[in-house]
Amino acid sequence: MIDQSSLEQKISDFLVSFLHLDASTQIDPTADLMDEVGLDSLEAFEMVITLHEFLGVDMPEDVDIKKVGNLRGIAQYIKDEYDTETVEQFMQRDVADLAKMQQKDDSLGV
Amino acid sequence: MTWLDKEQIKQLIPHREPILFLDCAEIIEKYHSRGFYCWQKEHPVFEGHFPQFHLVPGIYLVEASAQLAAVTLRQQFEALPQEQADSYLKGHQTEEVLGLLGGIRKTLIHRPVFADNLVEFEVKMIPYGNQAIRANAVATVDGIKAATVELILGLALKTDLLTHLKQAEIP
Repeated sequence: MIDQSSLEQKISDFLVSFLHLDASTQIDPTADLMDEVGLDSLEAFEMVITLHEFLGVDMPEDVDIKKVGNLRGIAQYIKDEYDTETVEQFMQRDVADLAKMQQKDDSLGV
Repeated sequence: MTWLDKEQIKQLIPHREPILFLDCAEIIEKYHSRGFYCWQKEHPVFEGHFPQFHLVPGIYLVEASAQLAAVTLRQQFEALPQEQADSYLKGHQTEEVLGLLGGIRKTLIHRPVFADNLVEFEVKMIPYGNQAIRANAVATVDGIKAATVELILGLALKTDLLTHLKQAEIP
Protein backbone atom coordinates (compact mmCIF):
# COMPACT_ATOMS: atom_id res chain seq x y z
CA MET A 1 0.00 0.00 0.00
CA ILE A 2 1.42 3.35 -0.99
CA ASP A 3 1.27 5.96 1.73
CA GLN A 4 -0.16 9.39 1.06
CA SER A 5 3.02 11.37 1.78
CA SER A 6 5.16 9.28 -0.63
CA LEU A 7 2.56 9.72 -3.37
CA GLU A 8 2.37 13.45 -2.71
CA GLN A 9 6.17 13.69 -2.86
CA LYS A 10 6.19 11.86 -6.21
CA ILE A 11 3.55 14.20 -7.61
CA SER A 12 5.54 17.16 -6.29
CA ASP A 13 8.60 15.84 -8.17
CA PHE A 14 6.45 15.41 -11.28
CA LEU A 15 5.17 18.99 -11.02
CA VAL A 16 8.63 20.43 -10.41
CA SER A 17 9.84 18.67 -13.55
CA PHE A 18 6.73 19.63 -15.54
CA LEU A 19 7.08 23.28 -14.53
CA HIS A 20 10.88 23.28 -15.03
CA LEU A 21 11.40 24.50 -11.47
CA ASP A 22 14.59 24.12 -9.49
CA ALA A 23 14.85 20.45 -8.43
CA SER A 24 14.99 21.44 -4.74
CA THR A 25 11.60 23.20 -4.93
CA GLN A 26 8.95 21.82 -2.58
CA ILE A 27 5.31 22.43 -3.42
CA ASP A 28 2.89 22.73 -0.52
CA PRO A 29 0.40 19.83 -0.95
CA THR A 30 -2.51 22.14 -0.18
CA ALA A 31 -1.38 25.06 -2.36
CA ASP A 32 -3.85 25.80 -5.15
CA LEU A 33 -2.02 25.17 -8.40
CA MET A 34 -3.72 28.04 -10.17
CA ASP A 35 -4.13 30.65 -7.42
CA GLU A 36 -0.93 29.97 -5.49
CA VAL A 37 1.52 28.03 -7.67
CA GLY A 38 0.70 30.21 -10.66
CA LEU A 39 -0.58 27.90 -13.41
CA ASP A 40 -3.18 29.35 -15.74
CA SER A 41 -6.12 27.22 -16.86
CA LEU A 42 -4.40 25.96 -20.02
CA GLU A 43 -1.25 25.04 -18.13
CA ALA A 44 -3.38 23.19 -15.58
CA PHE A 45 -5.11 21.31 -18.40
CA GLU A 46 -1.77 20.50 -20.05
CA MET A 47 -0.44 19.30 -16.68
CA VAL A 48 -3.42 16.95 -16.28
CA ILE A 49 -2.93 15.55 -19.81
CA THR A 50 0.79 15.03 -19.16
CA LEU A 51 0.09 13.42 -15.78
CA HIS A 52 -2.12 10.83 -17.49
CA GLU A 53 0.54 10.20 -20.13
CA PHE A 54 3.06 9.70 -17.32
CA LEU A 55 0.63 7.33 -15.60
CA GLY A 56 0.34 5.43 -18.88
CA VAL A 57 -3.46 5.69 -18.99
CA ASP A 58 -6.01 7.37 -21.25
CA MET A 59 -7.32 10.56 -19.75
CA PRO A 60 -11.03 10.12 -18.92
CA GLU A 61 -13.34 12.61 -20.62
CA ASP A 62 -15.07 13.50 -17.36
CA VAL A 63 -11.93 14.45 -15.43
CA ASP A 64 -12.67 17.53 -13.34
CA ILE A 65 -9.66 19.83 -13.25
CA LYS A 66 -11.02 21.58 -10.15
CA LYS A 67 -10.76 18.28 -8.23
CA VAL A 68 -7.08 18.06 -9.02
CA GLY A 69 -6.53 21.67 -8.03
CA ASN A 70 -3.72 20.93 -5.61
CA LEU A 71 -1.13 18.26 -5.02
CA ARG A 72 -3.20 16.52 -2.34
CA GLY A 73 -6.22 16.47 -4.67
CA ILE A 74 -4.12 14.89 -7.43
CA ALA A 75 -2.90 12.17 -5.02
CA GLN A 76 -6.46 11.42 -3.97
CA TYR A 77 -7.61 11.35 -7.59
CA ILE A 78 -4.87 8.87 -8.56
CA LYS A 79 -5.68 6.59 -5.62
CA ASP A 80 -9.42 6.72 -6.32
CA GLU A 81 -9.25 6.20 -10.06
CA TYR A 82 -6.37 3.82 -10.70
CA ASP A 83 -5.42 0.33 -9.50
CA THR A 84 -2.46 -0.41 -7.24
CA GLU A 85 -0.31 -1.67 -10.11
CA THR A 86 -0.72 1.59 -12.05
CA VAL A 87 0.05 3.66 -8.95
CA GLU A 88 3.12 1.55 -8.14
CA GLN A 89 4.41 1.94 -11.70
CA PHE A 90 3.88 5.68 -11.35
CA MET A 91 5.89 5.66 -8.11
CA GLN A 92 8.75 3.78 -9.75
CA ARG A 93 9.02 6.07 -12.78
CA ASP A 94 11.84 8.56 -12.83
CA VAL A 95 10.48 12.05 -13.44
CA ALA A 96 13.46 12.58 -15.75
CA ASP A 97 11.50 10.28 -18.11
CA LEU A 98 9.05 13.13 -18.58
CA ALA A 99 11.38 15.08 -20.86
CA LYS A 100 12.39 11.92 -22.78
CA MET A 101 8.75 10.89 -23.14
CA GLN A 102 7.79 14.26 -24.63
CA GLN A 103 10.70 14.16 -27.04
CA LYS A 104 10.15 10.68 -28.44
CA ASP A 105 6.34 10.43 -28.44
CA ASP A 106 5.10 10.90 -31.98
CA SER A 107 1.90 8.92 -31.61
CA LEU A 108 -0.96 11.23 -32.42
CA GLY A 109 -3.86 8.83 -32.29
CA VAL A 110 -5.58 9.60 -35.59
CA MET B 1 -22.48 13.03 -42.51
CA THR B 2 -22.83 16.72 -43.25
CA TRP B 3 -21.04 18.60 -46.00
CA LEU B 4 -20.23 22.26 -45.50
CA ASP B 5 -19.26 24.57 -48.33
CA LYS B 6 -17.13 27.67 -47.89
CA GLU B 7 -20.09 29.95 -47.24
CA GLN B 8 -21.42 27.60 -44.56
CA ILE B 9 -17.93 27.45 -43.00
CA LYS B 10 -17.86 31.25 -42.90
CA GLN B 11 -21.06 31.19 -40.89
CA LEU B 12 -19.39 29.01 -38.25
CA ILE B 13 -15.97 30.68 -37.86
CA PRO B 14 -14.92 34.32 -38.34
CA HIS B 15 -11.83 33.61 -40.47
CA ARG B 16 -11.71 35.20 -43.90
CA GLU B 17 -9.30 35.18 -46.85
CA PRO B 18 -6.37 35.16 -46.97
CA ILE B 19 -6.36 33.36 -43.59
CA LEU B 20 -9.36 31.09 -44.14
CA PHE B 21 -7.81 27.70 -44.88
CA LEU B 22 -10.83 25.52 -45.62
CA ASP B 23 -12.58 25.23 -48.97
CA CYS B 24 -15.08 22.66 -47.72
CA ALA B 25 -15.55 20.27 -44.81
CA GLU B 26 -17.37 17.08 -44.03
CA ILE B 27 -18.62 16.35 -40.51
CA ILE B 28 -18.24 12.58 -40.41
CA GLU B 29 -19.59 12.06 -36.91
CA LYS B 30 -19.55 13.70 -33.52
CA TYR B 31 -16.13 15.36 -33.04
CA HIS B 32 -14.73 13.79 -36.23
CA SER B 33 -14.41 15.61 -39.52
CA ARG B 34 -12.47 16.14 -42.71
CA GLY B 35 -11.64 19.34 -44.50
CA PHE B 36 -9.96 20.29 -47.76
CA TYR B 37 -7.86 23.22 -48.84
CA CYS B 38 -5.60 24.12 -51.71
CA TRP B 39 -3.17 27.01 -51.36
CA GLN B 40 -3.19 28.33 -54.92
CA LYS B 41 0.02 29.77 -56.29
CA GLU B 42 -1.56 33.26 -56.29
CA HIS B 43 -1.94 33.16 -52.47
CA PRO B 44 -0.09 36.19 -50.99
CA VAL B 45 2.00 34.01 -48.64
CA PHE B 46 4.02 32.75 -51.61
CA GLU B 47 5.33 36.25 -52.31
CA GLY B 48 7.62 35.62 -49.36
CA HIS B 49 7.54 31.87 -48.66
CA PHE B 50 9.30 31.50 -51.00
CA PRO B 51 9.69 33.61 -54.14
CA GLN B 52 11.71 30.86 -55.85
CA PHE B 53 9.47 27.91 -54.87
CA HIS B 54 6.07 28.06 -53.28
CA LEU B 55 6.17 26.10 -50.02
CA VAL B 56 3.18 26.22 -47.66
CA PRO B 57 4.44 27.28 -44.19
CA GLY B 58 4.14 24.42 -41.72
CA ILE B 59 2.32 26.67 -39.28
CA TYR B 60 -0.44 27.13 -41.90
CA LEU B 61 -1.08 23.37 -41.70
CA VAL B 62 -1.46 23.78 -37.94
CA GLU B 63 -3.80 26.75 -38.38
CA ALA B 64 -5.90 24.88 -40.96
CA SER B 65 -6.22 21.96 -38.51
CA ALA B 66 -7.33 24.37 -35.79
CA GLN B 67 -9.89 25.96 -38.12
CA LEU B 68 -11.32 22.55 -38.97
CA ALA B 69 -11.51 21.73 -35.25
CA ALA B 70 -13.29 25.05 -34.60
CA VAL B 71 -15.78 24.38 -37.42
CA THR B 72 -16.43 20.89 -36.05
CA LEU B 73 -16.97 22.26 -32.57
CA ARG B 74 -19.40 24.95 -33.70
CA GLN B 75 -21.28 22.55 -35.94
CA GLN B 76 -21.43 20.17 -32.99
CA PHE B 77 -23.03 22.85 -30.82
CA GLU B 78 -25.64 23.47 -33.49
CA ALA B 79 -26.52 19.77 -33.47
CA LEU B 80 -26.48 19.19 -29.69
CA PRO B 81 -29.64 18.98 -27.61
CA GLN B 82 -30.05 22.27 -25.75
CA GLU B 83 -29.19 20.94 -22.29
CA GLN B 84 -25.91 19.43 -23.52
CA ALA B 85 -25.00 22.56 -25.45
CA ASP B 86 -25.70 24.63 -22.32
CA SER B 87 -22.99 22.79 -20.37
CA TYR B 88 -20.49 24.30 -22.81
CA LEU B 89 -22.15 27.56 -23.59
CA LYS B 90 -23.05 28.47 -19.99
CA GLY B 91 -26.07 30.48 -21.00
CA HIS B 92 -24.57 32.13 -24.09
CA GLN B 93 -25.81 31.74 -27.63
CA THR B 94 -23.87 29.43 -29.94
CA GLU B 95 -22.83 32.26 -32.24
CA GLU B 96 -21.30 34.16 -29.30
CA VAL B 97 -18.76 31.40 -28.61
CA LEU B 98 -15.57 30.66 -30.54
CA GLY B 99 -13.29 27.64 -30.36
CA LEU B 100 -9.81 29.13 -30.14
CA LEU B 101 -6.40 27.55 -30.42
CA GLY B 102 -5.04 27.26 -26.89
CA GLY B 103 -2.03 25.05 -27.38
CA ILE B 104 0.04 23.13 -29.90
CA ARG B 105 1.12 19.96 -28.10
CA LYS B 106 2.85 18.18 -30.95
CA THR B 107 3.56 18.92 -34.58
CA LEU B 108 5.37 16.81 -37.13
CA ILE B 109 5.79 17.98 -40.71
CA HIS B 110 6.39 14.75 -42.59
CA ARG B 111 6.76 16.16 -46.08
CA PRO B 112 6.60 19.58 -47.73
CA VAL B 113 3.31 20.92 -49.06
CA PHE B 114 3.50 23.11 -52.14
CA ALA B 115 1.22 25.54 -53.95
CA ASP B 116 -1.65 23.83 -55.78
CA ASN B 117 -1.43 20.65 -53.64
CA LEU B 118 -4.88 19.60 -52.48
CA VAL B 119 -4.52 19.02 -48.74
CA GLU B 120 -6.97 16.85 -46.85
CA PHE B 121 -7.22 17.38 -43.11
CA GLU B 122 -8.82 14.89 -40.74
CA VAL B 123 -9.48 15.81 -37.16
CA LYS B 124 -10.69 13.80 -34.18
CA MET B 125 -11.51 15.63 -31.01
CA ILE B 126 -11.94 14.71 -27.37
CA PRO B 127 -13.89 17.17 -25.25
CA TYR B 128 -13.06 17.26 -21.53
CA GLY B 129 -16.23 18.44 -19.84
CA ASN B 130 -16.67 22.10 -20.57
CA GLN B 131 -13.02 22.85 -19.85
CA ALA B 132 -11.02 22.26 -23.01
CA ILE B 133 -10.91 20.15 -26.14
CA ARG B 134 -8.04 18.06 -27.41
CA ALA B 135 -7.81 17.68 -31.19
CA ASN B 136 -5.65 15.26 -33.16
CA ALA B 137 -5.26 16.08 -36.83
CA VAL B 138 -3.55 14.57 -39.84
CA ALA B 139 -2.94 16.42 -43.11
CA THR B 140 -2.40 14.36 -46.24
CA VAL B 141 -1.61 15.09 -49.88
CA ASP B 142 -2.51 12.37 -52.39
CA GLY B 143 -2.96 9.98 -49.46
CA ILE B 144 0.56 10.63 -48.15
CA LYS B 145 0.89 12.00 -44.63
CA ALA B 146 2.17 15.56 -44.68
CA ALA B 147 1.64 16.64 -41.05
CA THR B 148 0.35 15.34 -37.74
CA VAL B 149 -0.77 17.80 -35.13
CA GLU B 150 -2.13 17.64 -31.59
CA LEU B 151 -3.89 20.77 -30.41
CA ILE B 152 -5.74 22.08 -27.39
CA LEU B 153 -8.72 24.30 -28.01
CA GLY B 154 -10.47 26.47 -25.50
CA LEU B 155 -13.80 28.22 -25.73
CA ALA B 156 -13.91 32.00 -25.71
CA LEU B 157 -16.72 34.53 -25.86
CA LYS B 158 -16.51 37.04 -28.68
CA THR B 159 -17.43 39.78 -26.19
CA ASP B 160 -14.44 38.86 -23.98
CA LEU B 161 -12.14 39.01 -27.00
CA LEU B 162 -13.43 42.46 -27.88
CA THR B 163 -12.82 43.56 -24.28
CA HIS B 164 -9.22 42.31 -24.51
CA LEU B 165 -8.86 44.15 -27.83
CA LYS B 166 -10.08 47.42 -26.29
CA GLN B 167 -7.69 47.01 -23.35
CA ALA B 168 -4.82 46.43 -25.77
CA GLU B 169 -5.54 49.61 -27.76
CA ILE B 170 -2.97 52.36 -27.45
CA PRO B 171 -4.70 55.53 -26.19
